[in-house]
Amino acid sequence: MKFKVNHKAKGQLDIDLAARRLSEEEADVLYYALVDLPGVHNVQVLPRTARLLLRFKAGEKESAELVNYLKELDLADPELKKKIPGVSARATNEEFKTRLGTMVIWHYTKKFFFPAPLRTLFIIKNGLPFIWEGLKDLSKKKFSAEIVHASAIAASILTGDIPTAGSITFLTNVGELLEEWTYKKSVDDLARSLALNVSEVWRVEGDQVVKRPLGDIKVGDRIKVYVGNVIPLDGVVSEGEAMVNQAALTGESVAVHKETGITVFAGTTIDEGELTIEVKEVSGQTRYDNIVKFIEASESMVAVTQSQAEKLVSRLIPYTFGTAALTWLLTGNVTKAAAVLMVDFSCAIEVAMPISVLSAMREAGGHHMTVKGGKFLEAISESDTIVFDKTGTLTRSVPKVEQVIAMEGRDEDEMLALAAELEEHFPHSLANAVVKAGKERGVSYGVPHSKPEYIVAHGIVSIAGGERVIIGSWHFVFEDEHTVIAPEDEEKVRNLKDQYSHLYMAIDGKLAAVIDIDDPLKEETASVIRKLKALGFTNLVMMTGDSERTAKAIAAQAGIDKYYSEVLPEDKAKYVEKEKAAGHKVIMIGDGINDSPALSAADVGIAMKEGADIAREISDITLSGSDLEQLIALKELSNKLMGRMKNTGRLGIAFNGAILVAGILGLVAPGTAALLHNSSTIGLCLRNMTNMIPDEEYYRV
Amino acid sequence: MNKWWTFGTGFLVGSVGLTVLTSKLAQRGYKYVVSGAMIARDRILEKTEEVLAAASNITAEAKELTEKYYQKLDREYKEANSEKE
Repeated sequence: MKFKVNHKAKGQLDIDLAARRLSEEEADVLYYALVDLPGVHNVQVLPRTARLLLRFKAGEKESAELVNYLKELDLADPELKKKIPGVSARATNEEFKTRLGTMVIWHYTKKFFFPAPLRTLFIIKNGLPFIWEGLKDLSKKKFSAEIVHASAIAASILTGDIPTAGSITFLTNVGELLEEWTYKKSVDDLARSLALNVSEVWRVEGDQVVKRPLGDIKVGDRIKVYVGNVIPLDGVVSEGEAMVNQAALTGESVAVHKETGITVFAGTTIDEGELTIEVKEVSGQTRYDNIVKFIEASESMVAVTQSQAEKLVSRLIPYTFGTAALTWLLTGNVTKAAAVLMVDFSCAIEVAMPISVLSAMREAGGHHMTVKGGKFLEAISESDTIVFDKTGTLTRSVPKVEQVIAMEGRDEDEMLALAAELEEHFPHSLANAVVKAGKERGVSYGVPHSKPEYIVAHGIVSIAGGERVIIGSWHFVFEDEHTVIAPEDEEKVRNLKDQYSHLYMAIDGKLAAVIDIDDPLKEETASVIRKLKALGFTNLVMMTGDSERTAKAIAAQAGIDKYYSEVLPEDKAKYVEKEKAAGHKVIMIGDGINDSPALSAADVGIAMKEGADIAREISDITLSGSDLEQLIALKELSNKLMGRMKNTGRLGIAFNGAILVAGILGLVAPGTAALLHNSSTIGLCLRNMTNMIPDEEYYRV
Repeated sequence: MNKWWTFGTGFLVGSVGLTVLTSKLAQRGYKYVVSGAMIARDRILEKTEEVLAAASNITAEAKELTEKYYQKLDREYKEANSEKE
């Protein structure tokens, strides 16, 4: 890519691309190629002037690296085009910026260049829809902000105060556009977070199942989807049966039974069982529409603080009218009464509050967290309890096979190979470790095995060479399946080390191997736990399926006082419910299929991005990377957002109250009142759009 | 006499003017007017982008300057204190 560095400062580059302007696609490619780069804080593509503003972690080296990266970048590269999501948030933002710009320019063109009669005509034409909406609400005996707008516009037109009517309609239109933008943006962000991260799928080819890139799949292909995975494409079940969670489409988290001949939808997740699906549609367009419908159906986006404020405002409306009427009766002055009507308490709350929520969600996105609604940030600021899943959350998400202890004189490599082949289809961090170790050692198990069956939180069952093979926890292998240990191996089992997690494999009812998996704590875990305690979380709990001994060792290292070992998924959810019943607001953090019930039971479910698809779907917030420090940023963000929202409500009411009094006293004319009112609203909006955590501060933590 | 002129002009503008404005020829001309307006709008939006870029550059440099100022203060503080010791 050809370009010229226009301006360079510490942590910022202003780049002039060698083009007159950028097409939509070029701008998208550029934006999505850069936005996820490590160290890059902010990307702004200015398509009209073919410019690029980059803000990044300051440093000469980073700056040079970025310039080099840009030199190598080819905007026509098909690989980069793949990075653009189905609905580009950048394009949406650009569209709304243009609409807003057009609206402002058009308003002032009319105001300064049009002759008065023509202007009046336009203002009346623009005002009529508002008056109509107001009349409709009035006929339904519903006191709404629309009625206030309508009466203010009607009063100004009737009293001949045309410019005021003009500025009210203009600012209300701007407010509505901003609201639409807010809404569209939340939908896009959500759609992006739900967008399929599946890049590879299992395709049935003859009697084999092979991993293929999603792009290679055509209509009519048969693909296999296993438990815990997202169904990547729309299709019809051709084999198998499963319970499918369609929450992403319908909002109902009750799983639906699917069998041969029934249609399944892209974006839904398999809770139990597995399916072979004949693909009917390869594009994801229908999916986006579905997500939009889902969001429209759910009220989950709105924070409670906001809906409370909105209720308060609608209660204030009749009083606004009463005051206006009283003013008119007492003073006989229509202008003063109109000035009272200009003051609309709802503006600050209906526009400025959603913007603060949206801005917080955007800011969270900038820190690589996806928040699915303002409500959840609110819940985080109020919560005092965090339940951690151990594996992948407190510990590194990449556990490693430390050693394989073969029993009954079997071969270590062969045992590892068998375990790897069985675990291959199931997304779990321990399973990944086994599969990876198998690949690294390049081992394979000679005997073919039957279709492995996954028993949630317990283990895997399959038949190999006519013998029943099971892999799983101590609980599953010994207590449920009554596996026996050969007498000569008892010594080996007794000597298993505490700090490892153990996967037990049994063949034909006898213990065949123990795989020791080392899953050390993340470096930052202990310090994050300390900081969380300082931030006011009084109740930190760790839950794990591991044995008591492993759990105790890990909890002590992490600095967590309360832990539960050998827990089943339903126990996690039950514990969350119990804490909620005791009056706690509970955050649950996890990443596996087995965490899903607890994630949906908690007030806020937080999933790690590398975790199972279903955990990400069900969760309210996803953290990218395995960086637990994000939790602290999240808590801080939530607290600041709540402060900002309350402050917005108070300032809005105080400021407008002052204008109201001034209007009654005749200190300000209706036009001035409208101007003061609107500029206070816009001022609040602008403030609410700013970041709450300065970049430097986040990167310092 | 004056009254008649006013009426006449009004009548002309009202009848002929409207006919002219709605004529085929005028209708062909409107697209240029509208397109001109759109180009003017785009020019303004382009200027906005330039202003935005400039503002961003200014902020970045201002941050750098501010940082340098505080670094200088830090250095002076250190020097002053080391002298005391």
